[in-house]
Formats: sequence, C-alpha cells, structure tokens
Amino acid sequence: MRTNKTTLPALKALMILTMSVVMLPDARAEGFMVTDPRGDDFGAGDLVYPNRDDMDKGSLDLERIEVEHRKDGTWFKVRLGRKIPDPKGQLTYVGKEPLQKLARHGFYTFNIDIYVDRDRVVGSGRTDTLPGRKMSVSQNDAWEKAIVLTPRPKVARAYYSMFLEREREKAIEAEKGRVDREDVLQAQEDIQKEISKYFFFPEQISVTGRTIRFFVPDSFLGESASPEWGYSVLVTGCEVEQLSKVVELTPGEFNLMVIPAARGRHRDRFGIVNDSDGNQPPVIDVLAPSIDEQKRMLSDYDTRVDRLAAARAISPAGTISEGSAVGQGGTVAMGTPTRAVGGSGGFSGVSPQPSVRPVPAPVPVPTDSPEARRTIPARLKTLNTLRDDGLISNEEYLALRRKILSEI
Amino acid sequence: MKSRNLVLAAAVSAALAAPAPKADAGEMEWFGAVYAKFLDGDRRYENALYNNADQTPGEAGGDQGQGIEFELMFRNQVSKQVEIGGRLKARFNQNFWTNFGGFGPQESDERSAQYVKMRGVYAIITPGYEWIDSATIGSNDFGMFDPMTQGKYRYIDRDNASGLLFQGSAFGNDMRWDVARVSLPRLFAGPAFVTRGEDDALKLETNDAAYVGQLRWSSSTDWNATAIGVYVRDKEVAPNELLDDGDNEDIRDGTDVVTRYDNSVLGLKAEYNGFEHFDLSGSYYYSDYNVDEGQGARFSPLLNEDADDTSWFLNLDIGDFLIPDLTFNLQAFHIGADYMSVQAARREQDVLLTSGWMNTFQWGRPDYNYGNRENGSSAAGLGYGGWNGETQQVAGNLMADNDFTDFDEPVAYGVNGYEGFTIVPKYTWNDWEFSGEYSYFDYDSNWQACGGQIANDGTTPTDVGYRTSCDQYPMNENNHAWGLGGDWRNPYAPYQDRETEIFAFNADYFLDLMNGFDLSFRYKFIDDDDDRVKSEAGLADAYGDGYAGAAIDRSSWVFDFDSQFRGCEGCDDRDAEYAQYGISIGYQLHPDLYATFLYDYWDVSLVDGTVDVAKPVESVDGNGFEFSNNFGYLEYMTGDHTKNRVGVLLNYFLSGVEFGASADWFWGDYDPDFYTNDNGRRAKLIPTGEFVATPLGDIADDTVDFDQYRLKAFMKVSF
Repeated sequence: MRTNKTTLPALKALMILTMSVVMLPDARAEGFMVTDPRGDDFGAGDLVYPNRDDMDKGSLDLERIEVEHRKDGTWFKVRLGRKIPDPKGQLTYVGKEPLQKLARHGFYTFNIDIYVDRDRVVGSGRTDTLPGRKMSVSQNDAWEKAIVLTPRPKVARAYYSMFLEREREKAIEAEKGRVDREDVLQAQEDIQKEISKYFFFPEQISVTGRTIRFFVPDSFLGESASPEWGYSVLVTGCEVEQLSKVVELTPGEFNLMVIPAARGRHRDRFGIVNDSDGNQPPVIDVLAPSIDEQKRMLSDYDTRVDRLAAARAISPAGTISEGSAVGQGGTVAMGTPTRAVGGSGGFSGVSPQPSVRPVPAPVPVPTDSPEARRTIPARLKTLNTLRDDGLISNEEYLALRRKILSEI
Repeated sequence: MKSRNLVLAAAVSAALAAPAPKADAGEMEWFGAVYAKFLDGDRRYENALYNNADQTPGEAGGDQGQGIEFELMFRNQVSKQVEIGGRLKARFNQNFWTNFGGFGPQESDERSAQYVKMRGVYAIITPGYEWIDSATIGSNDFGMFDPMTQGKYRYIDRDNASGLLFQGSAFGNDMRWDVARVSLPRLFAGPAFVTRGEDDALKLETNDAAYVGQLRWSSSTDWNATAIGVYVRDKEVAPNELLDDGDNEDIRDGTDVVTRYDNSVLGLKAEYNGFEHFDLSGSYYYSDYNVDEGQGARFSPLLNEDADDTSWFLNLDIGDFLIPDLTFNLQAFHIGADYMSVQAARREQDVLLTSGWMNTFQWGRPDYNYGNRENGSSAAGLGYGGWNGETQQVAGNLMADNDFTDFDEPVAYGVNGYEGFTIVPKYTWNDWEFSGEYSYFDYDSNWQACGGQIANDGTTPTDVGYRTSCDQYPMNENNHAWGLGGDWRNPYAPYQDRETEIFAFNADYFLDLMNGFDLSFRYKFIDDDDDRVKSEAGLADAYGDGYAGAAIDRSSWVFDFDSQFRGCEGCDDRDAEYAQYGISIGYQLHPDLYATFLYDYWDVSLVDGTVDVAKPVESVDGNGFEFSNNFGYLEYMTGDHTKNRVGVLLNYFLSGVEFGASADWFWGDYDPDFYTNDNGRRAKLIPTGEFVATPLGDIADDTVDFDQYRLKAFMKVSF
C-alpha cells in the first residue's frame, strides 16, 4: 500500500524553506502611519451593529492606516478592532451561494473609502462621496483621487457606472427631451473615463487577522502616497449582495453596497438607538483625531439646506490647504509636521492633534414651498461654483438654472 | 470636453440634487431577487434541484434540470416606532421547467406546484424607552447569540424560526442585553426528532420554546465579557389527565403537564484585545440535559439519558509580532461528548478554526459508495475515498442539516466530542500570501462499549455490553463507521480510539501580467486513525454476536468468531491517510467575467478492518459488494483511491444581474487491498484469483475506474 507519511516531513521542510526565503530582510521603502481613536465605531454616537454573529463592537473600528511604498505603487494596510471574518463557509442571503464566490478577496463585511486631497488647495477637487455614504468631503479637503476598498471591486464599479448612466440619461432627457443611442454610447464612454480617472477599486488585497492590505498603483495616484496629502477616510458596512435599491423600484436613495441604518435593532441594517436622528450617515467610523471630533463631524448636517455631513482630512505631515476656507470646517489634523520614516520591521507614525475650525451656522432659506426652502439655494450655489470653476459652459449653466428655478 | 463636463456635472448634480425622498412612513419598500439554477451531470438523478441527503422517496438529491425561484421582500416603516417586513418566496425543490407550469400530478405536489409561500414576517417595535432598544416579534434567524447555545439558523431555515426578541442597552451602551423566546421547531427539536411524545393524546407542541438570555459588558475597547444562558423545555400533557389513566381526568380544573425533556446551557465568554500584537479570547459552556427516557435514541439528534457535560475554547491571535505581516491563530478546544445543546449550530466551520474535513474526498451522500439505480437509497453518492461520512444531520445540535445543499457548498460536519488544538500561521509578502494549518484532534467520545460495561456473554443481542450503553446514544442509520464505511450522521461509535492530524499549506500569488493572474497552490494531508476495539473482551462484545448495532441476523457472516477475530485487536482498526494537491488560476477574462481554472488530485490510502468484517446483508444475485442492496452501508473500501478533478468556475456580472457556473470533471480509480486475521495479527491478504471469497459474496480484486461530470449554473437578479 502506498503511504503518504513520507510526504509529510518533506512538505514541512519545503514550507520552512519557503518561509525562510521570503523572510529575508525586507527592503521596504519609507512610509507613514496615521492612527484613529479606538472604540469609536458608532458613527455619530448612536449607531449599533446589526444582529449578526459576524459583526460586533470593533469589527468596523478603524485603528490605524499604514502606508508602505513599493517601486510601482503603494500598499495600504488598515487595521481594525476585531479579526476580519472570512467569507469561507458562509452563504449569501439570497439565492444561497457560497459567499466566497462573490467575495473573493477574503473579506465581506466592510467598505473603506479613502478620498485623497493631493494638491491641498481649498476648493480644488471634488467634494462628493460615493452614493449611500450620505456624506460629503469638506471643500478645504476637496479630493482628486478616491480609493474604494470593497469586497466586490468589479461589481461595485459596475453598479456605480450603472447609476451614473441612469442619472446622465435623465439629465439628457431633461435637456433635450429625448435620449438617442449616440448620447448613451458617448455617456458610457465618458463615464468610464471619469471613473477611471477619479476612482480606484483595489483588487490586489490580502487579509491577515485584523489587518487588510491593498495595493494602489502609482499609475492611479500619480506617485506614491505622500504624507503631505490629505486623507478623508470613511468606514461603512458592506451590503455585499446589494439587496436594496439597485433600481428605483421604490422611492429611496441608491447606495453603493453600504449597509444602511435605521431606528431600532435589525439583522440587515445598523441600528440607531437613543431616539437619535434617522438622517445621520451610515458611516461607522471616520479617520479623526478624537472621538468628539468624529461625533461633531457626523452630526453636522442640515436637511433643510441639503447640507451633508462633511468629512475632514487628516494630513500625516500636517499640511494645511492653501486658499480661503470655504463652508464648513477645514482640515482637522494638524499633527507635528514631520514625515514618518519607515523601514524594515515597522513604521513610526504621526498622531494628529485635534484642531477644529468653527463651523458656520446653516443659512435659513425663505421660499414658498417646503422642498424649495430646503434645496434650491444650495443647488444654485453649487451651480455657480461649477460655472466659476469652468466645469460647465454658460449655456449649460443657464439651462440648469432655469430647470432649478422652475421647481419654485 | 462638453460631454465629459456634462458627465461630471451630472455626477455632482446627482449628489447635490434634492435627495430622492426616503420612503415616508406608510410607504412600502419592495426588493427581492429572481434566482434560477441549471443542473447537469452524468449521474442522471432527477429527485430535486438540490444535493439533498434525504432518503425519503422523492426527497433525495439530483443533478438534472432547471428551475427558477422568486422572492419578494417588503418592508414598511409604519411609524417612527414600528416597522414591519417579510418575504414571499416560491418553493424551489422540484420546480423543474419541464413541469410546464405544474399541470398534472405535479400540481398537487407541494414540491413542484410552484406556489408562493409567506415566510419570514416580523414586526420591530422601537418604543423609545430608555431601558429597551427594540422588540422583534416574528421571524428571526437569531444570529445575535452564540453557535454553542442558540445558534444562527442556516439559510434554508432562516425564515422558518420565529419568536420574541427583546434587546436593550444601558450605561451608555457599555452593557447590552438580549432576551428571546424561540418557538421550538416541532419537526426536529427533540429526542426522536420531535417535540412530542409517542402518545398523540398527550401531545403538546405549540407552546414549547427555548428561552435565551445574553448579557454583554464592554466598558473598554480592550475587553468584553458575555454571559449567556438557554433553557429549553418540551412539555406534554400529564398521563394522569387521560380518561383511563389516572384519577384526575376532569379537565375543568386545568390540565397538568409533564416535562418530556429539558436542556439548560450556560456560557461565559471573554475577550481581551488590549495588547498590540495579541488578542485573547476564551469561552466555557456547561450543559445539562434531562429526558424522559424510553423515547429511544435510534433515530434522534439527542441522547436517551440524562447527561451533563462541558465545552470550552481558548483562542490566541498573534499579529505582526517580531515579523511584520506574520500572524498566528491558535485555538485549543474541548467539546464534550455528552454536551447537549438543542438550539446550537455546531458545524465545524461555526466553532472551530480548522478547515477540517472540507475539500476531502466527498460529494453528495458520502456514506454510500456505489449502489445502483434500482436501489435509489444507496445511489445518491459517488465518491470512492474512504471517508467516515458523519455529515448529514449532525447529532447533538439541530441547525447543521446538510439538506438543500449544493455540491459547491461546504458540507457540515458535527463536532461532538472534538478536542484538541489548531495552529494557523499566515504570512503576506508583497504579492505572495502563505497560510498553513496544523491540527490535532483527540475525541472525548473515545471509549469502549460507549463507556459502559463490556459483557462477554454474547448469547443474545441484548446481552452485549455495547448495546446496553450505546442504546442511549443516537445511532440514526447505524453506529458510526463500524467496520466499513457506514453511518453518516452519528458521531458516536460503540468502540472508538481515534485521533486525527491535519496539515495544510496554501500559497497564493498575484502575477501582475495583463489583467493579473491569481495563482494558488494548496496541499492538505489528513492522518485519521481509529483503533476501535482495544481488548479481547471488547472483540467478543463487539463482534461476538455480529455487526454492532445492525438489527440483523449476524450468524450468516460471523460464522466463526475464533478464526475471524479471536486474538486480533488490530484487525478492526481503521487507518486512513488523505492527501490533496491542487492548483488554480484565476483571471479577469473580460471586465464583466472572471474565470478560475483548477486542478485537484486526491490520494487516499485506507485500511478499514479486514475481509472478515464482511457485509452483513445479502447481496443481489450473489454478486459481491459492488451491487449492494438498498443501504450498502458496509461498502468495501479498503485500498488506494485516487481522484482527479478539473474544474472551471465562472462569475459574470452585468448591470444588476449576475451569473455563476461551476463545472467539474472527475476521474480516478480504486485499487482494493485485503487484510485478514493471521494468528492474531492483521496481515495483508494477496488474492490468488480474481476474487476474494467472503461468506456473503466475492469481492473482486480488480481496479475500479470511475469518472463523473457535474455542472451547476445560476442566475441571480436582485431588485
């Protein structure tokens, strides 16, 4: 009879040899690290985890982000408060498929958005975030690049494309009264280019224990991630099967693979307790210098004027955006302006010091209808900004302005 | 430029536009999915669109046909404090498209009539009081508790469980509490898989319940502690309430009840995460089970006698210690053989770190090997390979059923009696990821004669010691892996002295070429030995009157105990070595299509008893073991088995619809070996002819070749 007993020592030796080879001195380039307070995975203060056995306090608690430079890109390493659950052995909620088939990268419970302000110029860049986050990014930390870590990167990108195409077709129809095939094709091409320019969905991902690392090439960021840049980081729960609101079957906001929040305790949503406001963003943790700052950030929204809570960036090197401060509070992190230098075996980091600019009170807007009272001034302001920044032509500005005013 | 700006403007405008109104109070939210499945394979069984393991006629598994199911979920925020929701779902079991709408006999069969069923309706009340966060009334999967106490209901039963759940918090959310009353499923939640006695006149089921309480304290990010308790009580009408059975048959004074069984489980858990590189957690459970004996444990998930036992787990996770990106996960565990927790969901993957028996040599019903189409009960599985097969309905816990599984879903293993430790190292370096595992299992269910007295009389079946003590333990389709192959849903064996070692190594590499290749290599080795009977007295007890546990006339096969077994304690030993090697390549063929190509090779060496432990039932037409009758549970499997697999996995996503497919081609062989009792020593037997003669037929010594093809494809549209 054949026996495999002789293969066992041989394989053990091979494994030891392999491990020895790969554990040679690790010539890592310098990097940096930022930390986030522990135990602040409650959003604005009143979010609780869903009734699930794979999510509990600490599961989405961002503890730190480390950055390692490689010759052609950057490895981001994010450490959370609990061991990251493995999709192996789990089944989907609908259709009963092995979850590992959908979530192929070793995790399935969270998304991490990193909005990168490279130029540190006030108002230069975008302030929106992906659908479902119900947040914006502060004008002072307007971003040029966004890294979206999600368990299904290709699917998330496809859903986002689908959403933008639908919005684009509505805009064309509002403008022209019809949507031709050429319009659709052109819109699709433009959308793909825009997404590729502004968003990166990492696919080179590995999970070990509480840490997830993902690779972002220099071809996207332009260069290796710099501590001089500003980083706005949001952590949300991931609805990996995207069960709700893919299409507009019922009224509601489209959200890109984010587990929403609702009052009470639920299996499929984060719970809002203590009778807290149901409009708060379903963002469980943000990179912030303190717990109080996070609470302030995530509570500072006003549905009357359509003002979303604004994330503020952390700059590991403590750089401050240049230009006039606009709207809500500016860059929060004002850490000691020294660059952390890494090397083999670990990194030193800069823990940013809290520094908060006063937030101006929201401006009440008198109009005739309740909805207009809430939305029109803010939308007109935004339109002005788009025109002033040269993002839309004067004809487009006039057409959109007429459309907004027609709603009064 | 204009188009690009319009796109950007659209995106920004969409984000800043008047928000689409949230579903206001009173507006119903609808969402759901359409799911279609396509099966094909060359075994050609049409029993269902699942890989069912059931023996009930018409309920068994299949590998043919197409079907589609629809589920519609609704949710309504009735008011600020009240939300309701539910699900409408079409049954799927035998909804083949060839039913053509279900006309004819299929229309009255609930498995194929395509009716839509109400499932999973609930109401969540959030009253806004300080002392309670919410109450959920109705359907729930109860996944907020613990797999060793009140476990999460598996997919197929997810909407079937209902109860009352109350949850709250205090001290600024430092303390959380959960209290639930879970209605006890009468289909399986008790001895003999029922929650009622044998006498229908005494039957009470609808108020049987499990009561669960959980208290969790976490005032620091560094640690937390949890206490959890479950109490299950199955009540029946007291016998003295019957007209002819007692004095107190007057119902005008109420009706007394008696406890058929009750089960209490207490658990304590704690975690400490305050160290930079170490996470420590531990849990301890105590179970107490009391049963009105006499129900029998022949077919039962639970014992037939009072029992109490403990279980515990200790986990240490070490991360980035000394070497960056090197982690170790260590687990030590003990799950008592008598640990009974009716509401637990103790599948292997639920509670243990080990990868266990997953990816070993099994598919479908791994208990039976060959069978034939005429004897449907034994034909559900194909899989030479020497596994023990304890998978289907796992004894001692009730949420680990393998029914309604597909072949690409990991098979659930019960872990009653497991004790040992597991070490899992993991290391990442640039584009490489390495992981490994070493596990050692001993078994708390290692015993002789089920821990009872060994009787040597053996004159009648009831005199043997194993039968007296083992009768209290579930046997289901017979005692576990006795002699040859055997029972697949019983973790208890009359004689067991088993230990298992698992070694695994995986390497993954991302090759940054074109769209990027995901390369993977895996190796797994399992050494599983069971010495079974350890004494001469045990031999006589176990084999003196024939095959342990089988209610048949053994005299036809144990015709000469002295020559077959006397003095040879090693003759019934089981020694198995499984080795698996595999490689796979994943590639994004198209932005919407990801493909994985894989190859696996299994090599299993098995020695399971001797030719003297022969098949105790008559074979068909005088043939040997290959053409067994209905239950072939003693299929001969000693020898060397190889199996090759070439597989393709596809995932395709397109604007809200996704497709998946999994196709496998297998081929392999089985080369039998033979052993016999040679003066008290197990010795290899070299056949001199084409067969080895046994009392009940001949076992061919030819190498058996097998091959198989199977395909599953699905479509899922979420809306």
